[in-house]
Amino acid sequence: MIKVRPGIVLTKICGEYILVAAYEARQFCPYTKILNDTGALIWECLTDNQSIPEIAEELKQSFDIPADINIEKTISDYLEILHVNGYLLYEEDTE
Amino acid sequence: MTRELANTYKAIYAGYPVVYRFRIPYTYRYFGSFAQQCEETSEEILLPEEIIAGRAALYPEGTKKGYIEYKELIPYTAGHLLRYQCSIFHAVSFIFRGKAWLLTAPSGTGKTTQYMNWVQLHPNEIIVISGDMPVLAMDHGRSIQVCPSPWNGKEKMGNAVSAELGGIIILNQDKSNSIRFADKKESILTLFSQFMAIPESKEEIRILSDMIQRIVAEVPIWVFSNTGTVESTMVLRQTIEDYLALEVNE
Repeated sequence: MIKVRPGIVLTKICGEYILVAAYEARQFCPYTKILNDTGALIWECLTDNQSIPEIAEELKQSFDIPADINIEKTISDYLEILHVNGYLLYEEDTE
Repeated sequence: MTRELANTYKAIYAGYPVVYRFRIPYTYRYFGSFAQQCEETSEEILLPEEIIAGRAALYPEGTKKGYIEYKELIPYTAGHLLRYQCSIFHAVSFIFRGKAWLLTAPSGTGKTTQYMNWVQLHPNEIIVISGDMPVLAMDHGRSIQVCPSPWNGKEKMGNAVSAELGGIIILNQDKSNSIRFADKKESILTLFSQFMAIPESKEEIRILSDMIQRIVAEVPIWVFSNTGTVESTMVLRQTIEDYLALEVNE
């Protein structure tokens, strides 16, 4: 189970999406991170507690994704990057 | 019989009050004319007790506790001011041609050097607002104002003057001089990093985001790679002059 770390907020400034870590979360991740449109949609899905297959469905509906791309694996890899950077928590994480 | 006042002081930033209860009796001295003793209120900023001792190791040995309290109150003050769409920004700020210009960069990058070069070249044409941390105010649809604060850096450069924000210059040290407009992403990330407020909630992030959006939308932001020499300062001055001339002609 993946969830967004409490205290992380997605904001949009002049068309750019940015993750911002509020006070409590800043010890675990960088203060800010720019996301592209795809990353922002994935983040919004995560905040709605959607699963990877559900997120993949959302992406297919919103973007032209080539058929040969393993979209669920791509999402998993992206989530791992966000996890390593401290923006996401896996259920087994303890701090 | 007069009631004895606690160590409670009110400071006004950009017209907005912040009330402090200082832990160290002489901390108010570092605030100069900003701090006026006042009655206790329910909304005082009181530095958590462990902060002064806990952060002391980050200061040179022998630093006075009052000075540590004065410095450690910066993010708390910056956060408190967000409710007024104000906050404290890390930059040397000065008035040139009627507008305020911010030289911003991490400490040690040459903000003060650029300012001092300007003073050396043209001593009568600029007035410093704050040598380290002005207050930016953008409430009620007013133009963005740059206002003084008591945090004026090692050189203690500051004046009780304010002006409309003209633009922001992000400084980089380099072996040659070049200046260009910052792109949106680097503008946004730099502004986040140079505001001294540490947002504590979704609402505070929203306010800070709105402030940054206004700055990026309303004023020029340049990246100035420079050598730190007086020649580099002449490049910067000419860039601002050219920009102002274009603004007048539009």
